Amino acid sequence: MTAPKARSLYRAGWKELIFQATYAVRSGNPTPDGDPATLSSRARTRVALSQVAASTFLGLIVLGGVSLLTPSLESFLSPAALPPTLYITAVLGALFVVQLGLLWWLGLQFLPTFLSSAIVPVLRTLPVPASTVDRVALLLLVRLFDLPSLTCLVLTPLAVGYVLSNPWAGLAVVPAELTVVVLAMAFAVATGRFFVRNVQGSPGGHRATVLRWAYLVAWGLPAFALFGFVAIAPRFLALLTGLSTNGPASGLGALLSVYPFNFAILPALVADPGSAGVVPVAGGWAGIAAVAVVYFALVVLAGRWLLTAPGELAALTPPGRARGSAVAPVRVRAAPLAIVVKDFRLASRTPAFAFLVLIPLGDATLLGLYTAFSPLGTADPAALAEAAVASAALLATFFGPAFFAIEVMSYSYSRSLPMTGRSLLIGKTSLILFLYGVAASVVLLLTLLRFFQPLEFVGFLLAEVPAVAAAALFQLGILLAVARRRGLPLVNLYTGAFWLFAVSIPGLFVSGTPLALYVLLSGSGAWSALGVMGAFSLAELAIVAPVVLGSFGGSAT
Amino acid sequence: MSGGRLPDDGVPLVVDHLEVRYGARTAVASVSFRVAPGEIFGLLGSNGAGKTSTIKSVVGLVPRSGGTIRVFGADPATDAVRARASIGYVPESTLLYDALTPREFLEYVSGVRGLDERRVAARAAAFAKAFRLEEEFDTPIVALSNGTRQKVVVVAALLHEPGLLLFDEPFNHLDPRSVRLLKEILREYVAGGHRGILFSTHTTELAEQVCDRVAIVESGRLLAEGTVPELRAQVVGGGTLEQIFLRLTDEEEGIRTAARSVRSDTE
Repeated sequence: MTAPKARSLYRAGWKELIFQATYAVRSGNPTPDGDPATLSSRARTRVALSQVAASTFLGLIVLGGVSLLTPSLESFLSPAALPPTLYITAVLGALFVVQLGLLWWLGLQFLPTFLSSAIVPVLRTLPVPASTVDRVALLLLVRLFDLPSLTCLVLTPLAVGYVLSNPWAGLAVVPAELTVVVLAMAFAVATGRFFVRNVQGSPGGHRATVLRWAYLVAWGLPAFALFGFVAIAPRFLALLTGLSTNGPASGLGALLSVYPFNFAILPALVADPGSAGVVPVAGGWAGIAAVAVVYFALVVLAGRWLLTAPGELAALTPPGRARGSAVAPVRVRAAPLAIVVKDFRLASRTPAFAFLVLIPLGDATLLGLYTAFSPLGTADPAALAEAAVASAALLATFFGPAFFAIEVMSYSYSRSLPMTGRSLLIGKTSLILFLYGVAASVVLLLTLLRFFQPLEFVGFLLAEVPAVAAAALFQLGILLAVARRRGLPLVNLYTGAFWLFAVSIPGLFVSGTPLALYVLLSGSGAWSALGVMGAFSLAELAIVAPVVLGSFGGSAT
Repeated sequence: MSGGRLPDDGVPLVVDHLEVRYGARTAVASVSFRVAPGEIFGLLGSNGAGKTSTIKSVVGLVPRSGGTIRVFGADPATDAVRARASIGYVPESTLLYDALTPREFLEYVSGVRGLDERRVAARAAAFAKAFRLEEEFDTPIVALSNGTRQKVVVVAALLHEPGLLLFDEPFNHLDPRSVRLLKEILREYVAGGHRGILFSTHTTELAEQVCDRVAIVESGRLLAEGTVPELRAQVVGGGTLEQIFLRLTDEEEGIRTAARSVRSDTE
């Protein structure tokens, strides 16, 4: 009886979940006009489009990763002394790590939708067995992950089988992909629990805010570690080569016994069974299989935990920590600054928004550390540092518009405030500039440890500022215009991926063009290239700012 | 719909032939009333009568399909910033920024309204004490009870001492002490004779206790308007506001029949 009942409750819950995810009525957005059936169908379409967008991105990463196994790229990338089996293992290991990181990150973006829909707490009040409610929660969670997970589970084996010309090698990828999907879901739920317990209910005040951000950084570290893993991939290939040629064999064996290499080695060995000799895992094939079984058992345990964990997570309420005192001052800031502070405070208690802050900063820190401490060889440290700043600018431009989604929360209340479009635009643009500024400053500070010609670098950093501001104003102007005509668009990965990409792509063009000009012209002298870059960047701002700020002026949001 | 800006004549709110439609459905049909300075004006009606749509159109949250609205002379549709600056709004459902604490929420609201920090700090402290919010002033709203959230939104509406308070079911979720306190605050608030309050409720006792004048609305139409004695005089048989309401809405006999049908079902 439980399974059919769970499925029927899940179907009703799913309708409600995508409705809330799309229209955010329970978060304070006004109820949209229109026939319920049409609204529901529109919600389904939007969620499906967003799922397709996220899965396409994941699919491109899979195809890009697997393409590194083609003979032409292998001969170009793999050190001569590295056995092909270990090269395949390294590439697939890196791909699994990236997939795990991306799915986990997508899960964190989806979880607020799952939690704010409040479906599970409602089901808990009905005369339905707890196990059925847990099953419904699990089905909803799985459904949130479905298309991206299927992309990993289906596309990766097919692509690996095709590139290695061995369908069995493709099949050998399946345990690894199952592990990726289950672990990503488990990590997302576990970090979600950590977030609700330690961050969401955290009180106000400076000390608590610092502690909350420290928690969020610690919480995001694994995701950044995954990113860092990819950044140091060439060094890792060198390490593998060293271990395989000079030993110690036990070191290589130990490395290949840990996740994700224990799974990545399986398709490599299936593609070339004769190469088992280069894999010094104790016990040979049996040892490799035993290690994989141990990890798979851990995955099964994680899967069992997932049977009840989503239901428990959905029912968790943040602990209220009453300790306030009205004697402490209430600080009043100018409207744009009040918007920036509000957004940071919300981000500090909302993982989806916290990541928007942490991603450009984490990226800048990792690339800055790499520039400062890695052996550069013939690489130009200035070019590396500039690439890091460019990536901070592009990430701030890409993710910045997602802060607009904050306005959807509590929209029916906040729209009753006398807030002008100009205040909103200036506030959100300042926030995006702040993110760029901090990320670029981190790169500057780290780069100064090695690269002692800061003037040119500071010039580069400053020349991009107007372009980032112009891109932000351009993107936010589009979103505000859409909001005026048809209601505030959600800009998130789960239901608003269309709007995120619709404004991010032209935004990236605006902030990226000065960077491209600099790259094109830097051969003829860095300072003249900087001059052109700065002038173009200023011209963009001079065109965009009057048009956008003039259009919305002092009228209400 | 006529737009434009009229001189501020000191009248908190004038609603003239207001119409609100959601697609084919008419939520408010040609409703007219005014909230005079120093007055608490009540909109009394059943669920779905059009009270919330009326208040939302005054704030500018819902576009009106016809008629005019003026808040101290400003049209909320075309001069929204000026109109909203004069309004303190308590919505029917308190969906605030869950991830902010009451203090952080009030700081945000005060910043957007451009209020004076010292004045805000003093008023926030006084309200927090009056509503016994001090212990929860730094707890995220997500962890607060519905009643405490309601107190927070009431404080946010009163903080800038607006000329017009729009209270949509403001006593929802409040405990008896807070209900009594809010009644006293509302009475004090209009005592100066230049501010007004538009207050919606479906509870006849509250309307009778709190409002100077009451409009009875049903199915988007205004059926009667006046002080309670005036309404009593308008309706044959008089009686309490509840009896007047039920007679005007032709519900008295319907309710008896419905109650009888439920009783026979359960017996």
